[in-house]
Amino acid sequence: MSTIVAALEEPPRPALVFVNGAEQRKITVERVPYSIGRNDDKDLVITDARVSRDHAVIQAEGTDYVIQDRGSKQGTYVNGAKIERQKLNSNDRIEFGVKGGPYLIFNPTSTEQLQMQKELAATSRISIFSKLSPNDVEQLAKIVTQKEYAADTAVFFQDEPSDSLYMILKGSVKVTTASEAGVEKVLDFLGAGEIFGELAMLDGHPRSATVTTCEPTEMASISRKDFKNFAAGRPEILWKLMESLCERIRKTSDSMLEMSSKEVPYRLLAALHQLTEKHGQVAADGSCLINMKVGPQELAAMVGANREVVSRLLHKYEADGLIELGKNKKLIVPHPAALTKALEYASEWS
Amino acid sequence: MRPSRLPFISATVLALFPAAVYAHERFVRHDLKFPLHEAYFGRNPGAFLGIQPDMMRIATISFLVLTAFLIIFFFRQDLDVFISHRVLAKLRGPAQRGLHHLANFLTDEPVRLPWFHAIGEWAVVLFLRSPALVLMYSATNDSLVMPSYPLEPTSAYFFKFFQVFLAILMLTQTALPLAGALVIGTWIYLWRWGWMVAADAIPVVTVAVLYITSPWQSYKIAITEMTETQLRWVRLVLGFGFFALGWLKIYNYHLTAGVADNYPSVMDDPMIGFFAMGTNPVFRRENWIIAFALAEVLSGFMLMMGIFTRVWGTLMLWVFTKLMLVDFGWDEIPHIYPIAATLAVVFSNKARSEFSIIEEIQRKAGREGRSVFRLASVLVASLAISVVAVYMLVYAFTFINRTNL
Repeated sequence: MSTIVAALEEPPRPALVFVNGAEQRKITVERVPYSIGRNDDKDLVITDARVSRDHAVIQAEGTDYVIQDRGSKQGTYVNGAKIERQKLNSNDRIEFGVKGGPYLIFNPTSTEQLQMQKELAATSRISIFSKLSPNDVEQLAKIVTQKEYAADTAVFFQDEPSDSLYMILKGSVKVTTASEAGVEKVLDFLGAGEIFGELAMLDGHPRSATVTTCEPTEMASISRKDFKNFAAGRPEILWKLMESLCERIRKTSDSMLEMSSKEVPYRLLAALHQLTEKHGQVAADGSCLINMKVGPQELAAMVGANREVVSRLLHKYEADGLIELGKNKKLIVPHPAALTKALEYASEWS
Repeated sequence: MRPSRLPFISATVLALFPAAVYAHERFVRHDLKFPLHEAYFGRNPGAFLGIQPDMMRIATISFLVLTAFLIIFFFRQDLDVFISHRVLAKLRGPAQRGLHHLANFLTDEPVRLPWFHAIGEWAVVLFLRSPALVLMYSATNDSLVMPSYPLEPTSAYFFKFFQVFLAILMLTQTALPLAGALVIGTWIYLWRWGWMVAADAIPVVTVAVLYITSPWQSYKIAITEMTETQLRWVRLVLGFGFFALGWLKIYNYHLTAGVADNYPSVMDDPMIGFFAMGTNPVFRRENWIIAFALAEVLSGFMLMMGIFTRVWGTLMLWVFTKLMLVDFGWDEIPHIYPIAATLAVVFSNKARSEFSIIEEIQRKAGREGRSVFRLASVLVASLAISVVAVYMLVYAFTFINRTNL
C-alpha cells in the first residue's frame, strides 16, 4: 500500500534529450536518483574528457526535480549559469564541463507545443490571455486545439450546439447572423488575437451567429470544460472575458443607435472607418489597405442596407477619393484622415 | 391561443378520429375476394402477450424503426455537427453552406434563406385562400364543398350563396374566426350525407383551425406566417389523420384486405416488405395489413409529434400531389387543402417537437459532461415512447370483437 502511495506522490518521470555533437537521442528517466558521469556504472554515461567520472545527479524533490553537481572538475551549468544544486524546469539546458560540449534538455516541449506557445504568446498581447505568465501560457498550450481553416469556411453555424471558445491566431473571420426570414447581418470582422464563441460557451445555448473565415485562418479552441478548469485559479481571465463581453454589448448598443438614428451614408462611412481602424495596414505613403475582402454585399449586411444603395455610395466615395479598389478586390483608404473627417461631417448631417 | 379555444379544437380533433380513417377508401374498391385467417387478429393464447408471432415480429420491427428514428432525432444536432465539421470538414464555401441548409431542412432546424422564407409565406397565403377556390367552384357546379357531392335541389339556392359568402370572407380575410366557425358548421352539416362525406372534408377543417386562431381584425393585416401554436395544431391534425388511419387499417382489416384483393400490386411495396420481413408467407395478406398499417401509424405519429416533420411532410406532399394529379384527377381537387397545409408546415421555420423536453435534458446533461446519463435518458425515452406508440394498441386490438363490422 505504502509503495502505491509513494508512487502516487512521485512526480511524473521526466524526459531528457541528450545532444553531443551530431548525436541526439531521447532518454526517459526510469528511476531517480539518475546519475550522470564518465564511469560505466552511471545511468547516463558521457564519454567526454571534460565530464567527470561522477559528474552530477538528478533527484526528485517533492513534485519537482533538481540537479546536483557531484563536485565535478569543470562544473555543471543550467541555462549557462554554473550551479551546485538547481530546480529543473521544462526546456532547461544542462551542460557538463565547458560550454559547447555535450548537454541535456530537461523535459523538452514538443515542436507543436513550442509553436503553439509562440503563437499564443504573440497573440496574448490583445486577447483575454494577455496577463498570463509564461508558465500559464505553457499550460494553456496543452489544452487548446489548433486547427487551420481554408478561406470561406464556416467555423460553426448559427443554431449549432457547441460550447468551445475560439481564438484567432492568424487570419480573420466574419461574424454574421440571419433572421428566420433569411435576412443576414454582418455583426463584426475579427482578426488575430480576438476571441469568439464566448456566449455559447458561457450560457450553453446554441450558437447565436455564424462565423466564416475571410482568408486562410488558424485558430485555437478551448472546450468549456477545459476553460472552466483553467480559469478557476486565474480570475484575471474571467475579468478579461467580461471586458470582451462588455465590448460586444457596447458595440451592439452603438449599432442599434446608429441603425435607428443615422442614415445609410453615415453608417457606411462608419463601417469603413471601423474596418480601417481595426484591420488596416498602413503603407509608406500613408494609405491604408483594409486587409480582407469586403465587398458591397458584406458592407450592405453590415450597415443594414441593400446592396444597390451601398454600391452606389461606394462609387461616390471612390469618386470623392475616400476609397480605392485595390488588388484582390481589397479596399484601400488613400487618406485615412480624410475618411475620419468625412465621418465627422456625415455625423453632423445625419 | 386563448384557453377557451383549446377544448373546442381538442373536441374537433377527437371528432375527426373516426372520419379520418375512411377518407382514402372512398374511391377504392374493397370487397374481400378470399377469406382471411381470422384467428391471426385475435387472441393467441400460446404466444407472447397473446399476439400472433408474425404480428409481434412486424410490431417489433416498427418499434425498432421508431426507436432508431427517435434516437437519431434527439441527437440530430450533434450528428449534424459531427458530419459537417468532422466527416465533411474539407467542404467550404457554397458547398458547405448548401449542405448545412439541407441538414437543417432534414432535421427541422431553421433554414435561414430568403427564398425558403418566401415559399413559406406563399404557402400560408395559399393555405388561407385555397378553400375559397373550391367553394366557388362547388357553388357554380351545384355541389357542396367538393364537386363530387351534389347539392339537394331544395337547399341548393341557399348553399350556393352561403358558399360564395364564405369564400368572400376567406379571400378578403374578413372576420376569419367567423369563417372558421362557419367551416366547422358546414363540416358538421356534411354528416347528414354520412361520415364518408364528412371525412373527405377534413382538410377544410384543418384550415378552419387556422381561421379560428386568427385575429378578428384579420382583414387589416397581411397574414403570411403561422404562429407556433397554429403550426402545432395544423401538424397535430394532419399527423393524427394518418395515425388514426393506420390503426383503423388493423381495426377494420377486412376493408384493408379487400383493397389488396382488388389491387394486388399494392402488396409489392418495398417499404411494406421491409416491415413484414421474416414473417410466415402463409399469412402474407394478414402480414401485409399489419405492416401497411404500422408504416402509416409511424409516419402519422412522427408528423403529429414533430419528429422529422419536414421529411414526413415532404413525403405527404408527394402522396397528395400524386393522388390529385395522377390517381384520381379533377374530383380530388380539394387535396389542394392538405397540400397547402403541408407546404406551410414544411416551409415554416417554427417547427417544434412535442418531445423537446427530452432534447433539453440530453443537452443539459451533455453540457455538464454527464455522458452516460445523457445517453440513458435518450435511450429510455425513445424506448418508452415507442412501446406506447406501437405495442399498446397492437395488444389492445387483439381483444376487439369485430363481428359488428
